[in-house]
Amino acid sequence: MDSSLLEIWQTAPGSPFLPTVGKGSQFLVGFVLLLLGLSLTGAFALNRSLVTLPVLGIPASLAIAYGTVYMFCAVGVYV
Amino acid sequence: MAVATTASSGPVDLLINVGKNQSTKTLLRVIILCFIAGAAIASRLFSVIRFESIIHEFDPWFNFRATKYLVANGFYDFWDWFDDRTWHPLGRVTGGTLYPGLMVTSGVIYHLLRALTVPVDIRNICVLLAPACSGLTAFATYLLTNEMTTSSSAGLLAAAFMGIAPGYISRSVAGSYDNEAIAIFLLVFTFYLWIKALKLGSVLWGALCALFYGYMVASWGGYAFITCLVPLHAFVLICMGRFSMRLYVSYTTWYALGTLASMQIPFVGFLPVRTSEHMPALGIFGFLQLVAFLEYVRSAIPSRQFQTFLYVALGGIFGLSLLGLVGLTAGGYIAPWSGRFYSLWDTGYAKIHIPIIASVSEHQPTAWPAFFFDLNMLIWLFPAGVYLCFQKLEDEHVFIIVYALFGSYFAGVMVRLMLTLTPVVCVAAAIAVSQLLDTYLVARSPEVPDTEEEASDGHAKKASKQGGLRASSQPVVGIYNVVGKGFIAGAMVLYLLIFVQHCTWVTSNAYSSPSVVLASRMPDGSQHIIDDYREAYQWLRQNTREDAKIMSWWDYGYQIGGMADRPTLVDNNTWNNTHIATVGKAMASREEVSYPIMRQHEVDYVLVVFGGLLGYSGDDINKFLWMVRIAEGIWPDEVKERDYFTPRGEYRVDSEASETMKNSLMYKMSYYNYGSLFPPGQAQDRVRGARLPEQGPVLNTLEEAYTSENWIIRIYKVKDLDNVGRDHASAASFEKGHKKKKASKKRGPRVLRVD
Amino acid sequence: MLNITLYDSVIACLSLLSSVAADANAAEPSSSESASPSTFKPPQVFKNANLVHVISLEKNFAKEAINVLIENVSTEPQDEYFLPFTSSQMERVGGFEVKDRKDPDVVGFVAEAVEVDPSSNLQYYRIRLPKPLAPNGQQTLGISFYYLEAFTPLPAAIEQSEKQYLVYSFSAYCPSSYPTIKQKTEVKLPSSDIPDYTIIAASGDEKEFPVKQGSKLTYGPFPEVPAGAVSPAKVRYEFTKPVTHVSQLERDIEVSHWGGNIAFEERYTLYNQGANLSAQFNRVKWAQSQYFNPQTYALKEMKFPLKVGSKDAYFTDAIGNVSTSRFRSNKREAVLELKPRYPVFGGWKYPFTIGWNADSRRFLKKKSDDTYLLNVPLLEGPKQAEGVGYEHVQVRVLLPEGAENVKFYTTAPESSITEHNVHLERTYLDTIGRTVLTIKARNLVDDLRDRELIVSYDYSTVAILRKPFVIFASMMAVFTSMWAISKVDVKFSTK
Repeated sequence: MDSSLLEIWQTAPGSPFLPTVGKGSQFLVGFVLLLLGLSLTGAFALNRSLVTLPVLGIPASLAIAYGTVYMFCAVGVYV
Repeated sequence: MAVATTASSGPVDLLINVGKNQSTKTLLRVIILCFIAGAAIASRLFSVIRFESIIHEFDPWFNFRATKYLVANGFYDFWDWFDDRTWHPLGRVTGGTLYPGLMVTSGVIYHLLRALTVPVDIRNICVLLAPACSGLTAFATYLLTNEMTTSSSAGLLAAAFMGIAPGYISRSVAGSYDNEAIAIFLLVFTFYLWIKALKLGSVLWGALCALFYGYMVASWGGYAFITCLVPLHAFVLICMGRFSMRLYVSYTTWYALGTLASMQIPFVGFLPVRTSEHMPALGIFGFLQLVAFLEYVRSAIPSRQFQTFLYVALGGIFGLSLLGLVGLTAGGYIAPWSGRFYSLWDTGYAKIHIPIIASVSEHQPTAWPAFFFDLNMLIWLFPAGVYLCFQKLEDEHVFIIVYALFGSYFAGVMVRLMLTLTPVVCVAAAIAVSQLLDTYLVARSPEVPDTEEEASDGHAKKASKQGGLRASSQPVVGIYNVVGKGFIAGAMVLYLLIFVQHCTWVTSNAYSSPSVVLASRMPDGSQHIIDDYREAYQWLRQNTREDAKIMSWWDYGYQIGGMADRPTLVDNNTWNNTHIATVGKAMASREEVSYPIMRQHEVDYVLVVFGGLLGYSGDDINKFLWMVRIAEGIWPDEVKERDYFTPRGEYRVDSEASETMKNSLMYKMSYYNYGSLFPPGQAQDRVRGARLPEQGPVLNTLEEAYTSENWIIRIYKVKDLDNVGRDHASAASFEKGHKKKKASKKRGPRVLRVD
Repeated sequence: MLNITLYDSVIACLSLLSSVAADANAAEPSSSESASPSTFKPPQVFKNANLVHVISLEKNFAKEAINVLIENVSTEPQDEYFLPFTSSQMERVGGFEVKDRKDPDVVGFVAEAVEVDPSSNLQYYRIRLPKPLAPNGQQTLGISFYYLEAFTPLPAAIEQSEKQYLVYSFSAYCPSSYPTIKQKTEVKLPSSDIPDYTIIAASGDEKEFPVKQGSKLTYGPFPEVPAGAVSPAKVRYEFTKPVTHVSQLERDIEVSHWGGNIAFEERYTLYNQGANLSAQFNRVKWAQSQYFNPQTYALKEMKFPLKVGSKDAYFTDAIGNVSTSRFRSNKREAVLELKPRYPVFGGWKYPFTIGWNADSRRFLKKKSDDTYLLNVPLLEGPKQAEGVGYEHVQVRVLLPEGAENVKFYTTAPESSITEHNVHLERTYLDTIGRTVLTIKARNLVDDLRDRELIVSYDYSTVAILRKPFVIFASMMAVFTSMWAISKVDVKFSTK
């Protein structure tokens, strides 16, 4: 228990926390990113080489990573 | 999607073009299959969207309960599970009397998802397992069909058919967490592996086939279908003179490994060598050895006479072993065919000898409209596909023919076996449709490379347009004619669209009701949910003792176990006919007879389902005759079906009902106190459309404990023995006289009308 | 029936009062193990110059308020005032708060239960005054607290449509460790239907106590009584409303920075502690009584006024969704109305779960770069006219994965908080687990439902990016192994 928190809350600047991607657009963002990620994965699956690994793999992984997080949020499992 | 990918420019397009043409096709096919799987899953989600993520019907509740037990206690405890909360006071060796495949699959998925940091609730896994498996089934059907034909579109068509055919959806909507959910996938996939093994004569594929056969055995009692169909296929091939080393290798590998695998399941155990259902597989195994031996001898000694002699010997040995089999069966070493099996040959058998099987609606013979209802246009494409198989008649086509014959027969005998017919119908119909489309759209003129690819996508419409363009520069005769092409393609597209529409309609209207929750419409059109089952089960779960025994008809046993979490006397695992008959007798007899039975079985509450107020026809009064029949099977002197009918042979519940009927516990429990809901003499049973007698039934040994909002579930408490040793009837009449005196002094009588 | 006893026998009387069968011997030190002073007796340094004891029985828990003018009678300044309870009362008392009646600006009263001999039937709450009271100094304390499970229905079993009567036992003299010069006890009841109450001989103008005015009973004023004096009294009154008691409430508050969401879930184990049914439940009567007589002691509906902006509400129980709920959410209010599957009569139980989502901007503030402040209600139970009592409450605040330096403060009475800790728990997409602050409280009532819970925590950018990074790394591993496997020829050579 820290009784100073009440005062801190009351005096804290009124900047409510907002997420980077709002609730309304999470599904769209998640879906587009996942689609992009899966397409890149498909492209990589067609042509697996040491060159395509960073060229396609890294963007695909990034898109899937953020897409998954936002898709989870969009379906109601707020991570 | 497929078009978009190919049409899009940029690095993706570049890379696809860099890749070989073959892999682009593969990618397209993968994408199409993904869409088919998506459609298959989506069309099974009606009930989740309309109601909620809930386990449906009856058997799935047991599977769900068992899965929860598995997840909570681990595999070994599950294997050794003795359940003392069912079949009181006998209990059930659950771990040894179930097919664990379904539960173990869910358990594995559950733990896998947890490991992937997605801890999904076990209920949701169970609810969505069947749709997920249907996606896999579509894929397996694709593989199986591809073995049958060279046309690349047939497989995709078959996958699409399989994905949305109502015959399969009926058993695999979300929430229908039953063995069939995964078994159909395993069935189709095992068949695919069998064909693959047979074609290649490969030990590897044969072993894989045995592996999946083992999985199938672990999942569903219907594995006997594979156990009979594969040997039959082998036998037919031999009879056609198509014995080959491929057949020998694949069959012996499958049989040896598959039988060993199936014997690992406690419930199956030594059945594969001890029951008649499994004998064909063993017999063909022996027969194949003989044939192989003779083939070897024949190749070594090419003498025509010797050959004839050998064939005679072969016949002799075959006859001898058949005789031996009969002898062993007669001697009791091999169990004869079970009643369930007999009922497959004689549809009237069950009704006479095993009423408990006949009392289940899904064991009834199929009505012919059901075929059209469940398969729509596939049912008339099916014979065409089988005919096309005769045209080629490779080993694998023989399989489809044999499967088609037997599947059709069994589907005609029992409604639920429509399920095993559906895969072969989809395969055959897809062969027919693709043959038709290929014939009309892929004309055998020289410049067709691009249309071939289009047709493979199943985009019949698009292909027809391109065909039209090409046809204008060519002599227009017969199937090259743009009109003919357009007509056929258009008709086919129309049929396919109607098929999709029909499937969606059937799924939405017939197969997506959880039956635990009933939906009705309010006058203003909004949906009203009738949730009486869960209301009553929740009441039982929260407000009765943890070990209060509930007596009900066996239909509700699994639901009471799953939702109310209370011990039951009988449930849907109908392993003990006598116990069920005991409950039937208690329900069908007078109170004086029923009460000792209930005391002996330590029954605390009795649950009946009554639809009279709401017009819900699946209630216990309508099932009552089955209770009587089953009880009569054990106690023919005490319970007689005839007594429950009026002298004119009618089954009635109104004032004309027979005395035995009116005095039966079931009748009393259903209508007890029901009349007080109506003005005097107006009580109406809306299911049977009968006006009830003015005088309601009197219950002495039971008291009403709970009645759900719409009266669907009524729960009665069994009274304890009387404190001063009177029987309940005299105690009740004493009470009544006592009360009446007091009541006359006080304000007025109680609402409860007892007289 | 005037019954003045001296301090030494106070234990016996208090135990009688709480209907716990314990006699005076029980208070004797039964074993010598306990080093703590089992015969602990608060130093007689105060006297209660004037005391008004108000017992409100309008809801289904008892709310007691003691307004007392205390005077330091010792020669030293004193700052510890003791209030006695029996051990049975001690288990049921909650929401203990102290204020200065005269001067609301005086803050800093600390009230806590004193750990005396646990086997003793007499326990104390110690009130530490913000400033020691000088000799002969006076201060007016407003002490208020609640008793849960305070009533017994009489008769214990009634018909479905009968009226329910409850009995409450108390003392006409306010239990005190100090002599009281002047006092009176007021009992406020929900209705004027009070068939039985204890009548005691009066002093002064009145002939006998209590004086009944409508739904209020007044005992006193009494002249001076010594410390520890009690006068057992009972009142039996009509209360045809459900005696809703939540034996266990688990409340989860899940904060998501990625989704900008606060998810609430509450799991209730609810009982009706009213009179049981004397006969079995009768559906016909119930359906009929629904038409013309809505007053019943069965719980058939609950209203949860949630914070404005709540959405996606759900109501489930052990076997799935309960379809009899209504959720209204608009700009002014968000009300969740629930009907249990069955009417919950006395002695019946109904456990259920509710949950809803809300936008983080309503509850979460960013204080500085990495520090966030969360302000949520500690309790958001149903708002019922008849009240709700909570025996055990467990509030868990699931902060994002990687949050650290967790501090919290709640405006609820500190003495109600029994335990709190911070640990990790793994759920969706978690690799190390979310930081969970668990606060356990007991004996809360729905009067405290607006009390705030403020949590501050640090959450760095690195920690925020943990989730996508983990997925990114695993996807890269998959791609690399795909590439590696394509380089390996696993086929048997066919040549």
